[in-house]
Amino acid sequence: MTGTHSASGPQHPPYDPDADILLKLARGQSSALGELMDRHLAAIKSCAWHMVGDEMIAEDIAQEVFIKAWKQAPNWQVGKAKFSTWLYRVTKNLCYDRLRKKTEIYPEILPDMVDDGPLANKMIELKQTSTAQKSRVEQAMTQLPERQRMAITLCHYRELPQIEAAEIMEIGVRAYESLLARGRKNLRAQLQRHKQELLEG
Amino acid sequence: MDMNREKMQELLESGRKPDTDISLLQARILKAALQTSQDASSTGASYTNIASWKSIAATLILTTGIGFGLGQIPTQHSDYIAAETLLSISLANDYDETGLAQDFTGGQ
Repeated sequence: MTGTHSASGPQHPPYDPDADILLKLARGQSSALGELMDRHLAAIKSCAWHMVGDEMIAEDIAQEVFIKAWKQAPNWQVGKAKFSTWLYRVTKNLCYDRLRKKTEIYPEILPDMVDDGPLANKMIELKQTSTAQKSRVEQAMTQLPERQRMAITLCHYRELPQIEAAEIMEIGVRAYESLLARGRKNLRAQLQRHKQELLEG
Repeated sequence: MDMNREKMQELLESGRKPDTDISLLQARILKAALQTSQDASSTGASYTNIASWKSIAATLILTTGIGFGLGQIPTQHSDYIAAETLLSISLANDYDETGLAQDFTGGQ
C-alpha cells in the first residue's frame, strides 16, 4: 500500500485531508477509524451501490474497504497519494470482483459482462427482487459495462475532479474522458428507448 | 430527437442513491475492525518473522528432497528389482519376436 500515482497522474499530489487521521489509524486507534468513516463511508457505500445496484452487497463492499484501510494503515506512506483515492480504488476493484462473480454464477445466461447491455437486466430478472421498484435510470446504469458505469458514478454521483477519477480508474485523464463519453452515449441510448415514459414521468 | 445534456443530468439525478442511515453499518465495521489485527509488515520484526519462515520452509524442502533422493539409490541396486527388470526385458523380447514372425508370414 504505497499510494503511488499512475504515469498520467499529477507529479505533486495535493494535500491529503485525511493525513492526520491516518497517523492515528496507523497507531491502532479505533476512534480514528470512526472519524475516517464519518468522512467517507456514505460516499463509498453510495459508489458501491451505483456499481452493484444492491444495498446489502454495497454494505459488504464498504465494510471490506474500511477493514482493508484499518489493516493496512500502518503501511500507508503519507504524501504519496490521497487516501480517499485509494479508498475509491479499492471500492472499484471490489465492485468489479462482485460483478464478475455474478457472471460466473450464471455463465450460460450472462455470457459477457464487457459490452453487452441486456445481461445485467437478465440478472435482475433472475433475482426477481425489487426489479419493479427500480427506475429506468437505475436499470440503464446496470446495463452499462462496468468501467463506463464506474466513470459515470465518479463523475455524476461523486462529482470528483477528472484527475482524481482517472487516478481511481488507474488510467490517464484522456482515457477517462473517452470512457466517460462512451458511457454517456450508451446511457443516452438506453434511456432513449424509454424516453416517452421518462419524459411523461 | 436527441436527449439534451440537462435532461440527461436530471435523469441521472433521479437515479441517485438516496441517503440512508449508516450508523449501523459503521458500528458493524468498527466491531469487525477490532477483531482484526493490523498489518504490521512495515516493522522489522515482521520481516524477521517472514525470513525465519522462509528458512524453515527451505530447510524442509531440501531435507525432503535429499531424503527422497537417498531413498531411491538402494532400490535401484536391489537384487529383487534387478531380477524383475531382467525378467520383464526377456518376456517383452519374446513377445516382440513372436509378433514380428507373424507380421512377416502374414499371420500364418
